[in-house]
Amino acid sequence: MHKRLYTATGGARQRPSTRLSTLCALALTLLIAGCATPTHVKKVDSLKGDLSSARILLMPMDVELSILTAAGLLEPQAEWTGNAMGYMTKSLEGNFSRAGYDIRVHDNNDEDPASDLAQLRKLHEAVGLSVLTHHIGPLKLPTKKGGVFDWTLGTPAQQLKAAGAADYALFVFVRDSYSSGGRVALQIGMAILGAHVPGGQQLGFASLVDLNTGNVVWFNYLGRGTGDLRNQAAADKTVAALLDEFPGIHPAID
Amino acid sequence: MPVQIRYLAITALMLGALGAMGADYAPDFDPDYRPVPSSDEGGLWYRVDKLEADVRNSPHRVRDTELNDYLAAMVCALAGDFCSSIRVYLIDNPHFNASMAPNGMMLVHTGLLLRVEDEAELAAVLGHEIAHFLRSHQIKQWRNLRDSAASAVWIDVGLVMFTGIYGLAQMSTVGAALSYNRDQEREADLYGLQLLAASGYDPGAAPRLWTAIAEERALDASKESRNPFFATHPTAEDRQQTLHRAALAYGDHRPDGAAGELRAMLAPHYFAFMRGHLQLQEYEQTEYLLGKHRRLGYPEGQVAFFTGELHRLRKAEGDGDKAIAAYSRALQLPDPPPDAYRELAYLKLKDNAAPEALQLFQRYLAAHPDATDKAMIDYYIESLGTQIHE
Amino acid sequence: MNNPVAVLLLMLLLAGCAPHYSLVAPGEVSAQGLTLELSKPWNKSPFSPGPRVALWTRDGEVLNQLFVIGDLNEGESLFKSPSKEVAMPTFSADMLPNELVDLTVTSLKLLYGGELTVTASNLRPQTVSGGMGFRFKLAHYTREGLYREGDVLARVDGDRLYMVIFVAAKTHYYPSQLAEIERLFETARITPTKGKG
Repeated sequence: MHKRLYTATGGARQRPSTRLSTLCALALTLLIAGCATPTHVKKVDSLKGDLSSARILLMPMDVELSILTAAGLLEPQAEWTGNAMGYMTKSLEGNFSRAGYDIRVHDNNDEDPASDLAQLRKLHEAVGLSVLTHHIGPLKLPTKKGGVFDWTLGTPAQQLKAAGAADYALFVFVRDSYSSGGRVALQIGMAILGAHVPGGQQLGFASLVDLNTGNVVWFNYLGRGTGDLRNQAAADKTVAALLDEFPGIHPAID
Repeated sequence: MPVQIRYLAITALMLGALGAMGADYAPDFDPDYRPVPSSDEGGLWYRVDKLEADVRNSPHRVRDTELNDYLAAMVCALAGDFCSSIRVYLIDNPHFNASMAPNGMMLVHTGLLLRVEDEAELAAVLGHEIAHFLRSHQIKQWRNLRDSAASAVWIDVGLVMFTGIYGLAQMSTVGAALSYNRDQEREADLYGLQLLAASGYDPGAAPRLWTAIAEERALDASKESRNPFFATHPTAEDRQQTLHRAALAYGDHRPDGAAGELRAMLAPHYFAFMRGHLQLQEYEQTEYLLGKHRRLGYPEGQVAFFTGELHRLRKAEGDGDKAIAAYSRALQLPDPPPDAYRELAYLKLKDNAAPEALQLFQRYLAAHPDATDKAMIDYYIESLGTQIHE
Repeated sequence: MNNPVAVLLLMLLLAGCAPHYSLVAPGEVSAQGLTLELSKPWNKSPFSPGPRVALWTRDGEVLNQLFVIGDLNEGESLFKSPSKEVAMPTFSADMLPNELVDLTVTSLKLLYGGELTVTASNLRPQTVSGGMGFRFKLAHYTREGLYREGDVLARVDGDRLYMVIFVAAKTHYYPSQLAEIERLFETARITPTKGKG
């Protein structure tokens, strides 16, 4: 996912957006602003059975780090993002192998957009969005009553099982922004006046899919005003938060 | 490299010697330039690199090898030393648009291909965009936007200039915030002419093309620009005059614009590209375009068919009869699209001309036995048959 | 946000009046002049695309959508246009199936932002509520590149249009729901709302 979390009114004429992206933007803004219907569900865990030596395929991570300027613009940072992906991969691999899982990184080849594998990854994006909007966010679906977590990629996920020789696939999504100097000054100034100006935020989720059934069996959402991915130690903490209470994982953080 | 382009390259050498007059522009960076990743420009390149990965995999990209090679060769000839810095992608979109991103990604819409009369006009647009790129206009505008206090808008920074492509995740949702300024437009026009002439094309193609485009746009009933190209390229009143004068200064050039070659290259794709244009519902502009295509000699049966479609969909006074006339004409010409039988059949059906409708439906299925709507047509053939025999 | 509707919704939400999805229970359900037999429950979306449409979803609108459209009069459009600049095409009672396919394809395309290509195929006659109607397939890529397929049931009754459109992600979602949709289409009945509605 790639939706911008911040906005200010502006004069430029805008192209009509789809209703679905509006929905997503609304849901995410609400989550970050803390206005979501109070829910303690930020994690789902339906992992069953013996997971020791399970083979986990780490899918290409969707990560982006940006600077949030005083004017409310998000400026993506190439070097930070490249480094962050390196730190996170190292941290994830470390955590999973210490817990006895066999983690392998998915080969990211440019694919035909119509290919089954490409569509499977797009489907996961869509399922992740639905989980954020309807399970974690305020727009609950009555058919999934009692907070039943019932989201799946279906049996087509078995193609990943074959392609990656794995039992589970782990998807990671992070959007992380940091206040620029100008914005921090703005925040302090506004705080003195009694108004709250959102600073940098960290939004992410980690999702584990059982490649036999396609079911999302573990999902953890992260949304907070702190958190850093710009050095290994800080990234380790973020990964620890993403993997909070993943069976067998006890992140080693100093 | 196609014969045509090779010929142009040789001509370019010859004409270079004749000397182009007017300002001599040059690129303001080296072909192997890449920004430092931690710089602001590095961040912008990074975003565009990701966008380019999406473009490569996009379902809206036209992957036909011959067409892509043709465009790449033309861009190569125009860009000279910067040939290897530019990658061209053809996007299935009926709007007139071509754009370049600071990392060398060039996007060409199929709508542009439908509007140029010859290779020289196509090269004029591509040369104009290459000129923006070689003079770093995008990065300069992006920096201005960042620094400006008035820029409190929610945008995907820098990308709004490069988009107009569909189905991509990082597409911006805001319009003209990052248009080029008038000085940059003028520079791109004049530098574009220089590149055009250096490749042996007739520089007069540039003012000719923009005049035709302006004529088409003047027909836009809504007067609202939904076209990303015009949102980012402000057009000065005196632009045609400036270009015309500047073009004259160039003197000799190859006389013909290789119109025939362009047409031959586009003919197999004409049907698919034109169908997208009708979905825009911009009927006045479509009518203008079809007039041009008739004159240029695009496949007659198809042009007549689309004329029929235009009248059928527009539904203005008298359009019903004009649609029937156009489809009928299409069916007299060599190689009409099978859809013409079907659309005419439906119109006859509405007119209660049952025997004619029946015959047309039958001819449709004979011409297109794999039609996906065969079941519907069979139903009409059967019920019309029964009706006629009652 | 880049949409005044979203800003309004945000304000409503902060004020405590939240938009929410409501349950459509299985059994016989009337909506927009159609009576449908549902074997499974659906979720009714609070974000309706027009006054003649009920929009339902099972797992989230990107994954699956059911548009129930009915009592549509001459001159009305299927959906309300998301932008002032672009007009939605309108229905006329004398439209033949090919025109109704065009109407559906163009309307969906514009509803989804005007920037997609929606393709239709396999148009065929089908009995709808005891009378002559028809059926066709749809397909499109979303802006993010997810491929979705759809199935449309339509009939013009009197001078009004009745239509049910099912669209879902091609991977897993569309095939797994197809049998359910087939039953829904077979048992759909037109029970028009009186008057101009």
